[in-house]
Amino acid sequence: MKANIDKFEALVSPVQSGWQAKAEERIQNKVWKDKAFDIALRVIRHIRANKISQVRLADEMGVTPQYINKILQGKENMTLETICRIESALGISLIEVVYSQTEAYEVETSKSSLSDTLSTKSISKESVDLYSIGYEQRVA
Amino acid sequence: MKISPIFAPHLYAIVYPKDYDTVWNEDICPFFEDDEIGQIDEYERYFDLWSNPLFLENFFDNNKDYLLLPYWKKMNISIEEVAKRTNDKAQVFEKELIENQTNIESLFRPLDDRTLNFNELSKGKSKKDWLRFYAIKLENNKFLITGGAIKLTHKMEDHQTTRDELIKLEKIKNFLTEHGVIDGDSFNDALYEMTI
Repeated sequence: MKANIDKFEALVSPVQSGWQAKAEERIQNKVWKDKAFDIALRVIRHIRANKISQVRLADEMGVTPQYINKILQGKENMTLETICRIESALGISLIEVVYSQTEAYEVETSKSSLSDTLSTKSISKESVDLYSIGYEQRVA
Repeated sequence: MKISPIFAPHLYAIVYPKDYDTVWNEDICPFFEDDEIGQIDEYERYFDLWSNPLFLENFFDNNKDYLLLPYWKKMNISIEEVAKRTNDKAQVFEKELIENQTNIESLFRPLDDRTLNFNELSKGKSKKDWLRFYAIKLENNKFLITGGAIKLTHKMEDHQTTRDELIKLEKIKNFLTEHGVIDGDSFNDALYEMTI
């Protein structure tokens, strides 16, 4: 088949496709978008299995059905609060923090160490709070 | 009907009008904004769908019986897994296209498998997977995408999704013929597909 390229080019729209902006957005936000996809999929399967409508889920969470739809399409960068509200509304777990064995050991060691310190020394409340914050930051 | 440049002068895609319900039907429109319907090209539309968990879950749940066919069954794959894998594959697909945008020819192969079955694919003859773009080759390294699909069955005729793609190819053939771009001779030799 021989094509007339000049006639073809004349049919091409001068308007650029929107694919590029979307592709860049997908690549740039891949990390959270992959998580949003996983969470959405889990929620979609759960509400299908339990015959829960998007409208009912929206009511339970006190948000609009449009917002739920955006979440289920993987387009929403959800806050932890939103994720927890979905978990609470559906009675399921969506995210968990997994500690490695080393971290778990460090946690236990830190707890014992802090406990020892508290039992053997007089220590101000402010110092304990600071220690706890440091520990939490290190684990995070 | 419009033609949108994707990687000009090598790759283009069709924009189907809003009233063409093979593309813009009630099953598909809810996944797009109102101002996108009838405005976005097939390349953009499929990557949107293939990255959408709601669309993918719905598609595979509606077609769960097809996942019992030998090709799918031996993967022993759940709806969650196939939806997730489709999204992962789409990302690889998109990356490969961007990286090869000046050598598009290398990504396409003749559409000679309208009757080729998945069993042959599993024998290592090809690394083909289930995501497809369908296109018309205009000249070397110059293609026009007419549509795409999640291919579920051996033959394109065996599933509505891929049957629709054959109809779209015919529709675009007529469109290009009417505008003097092609004369329609040997049209079947100009049909190509792209996959990862």
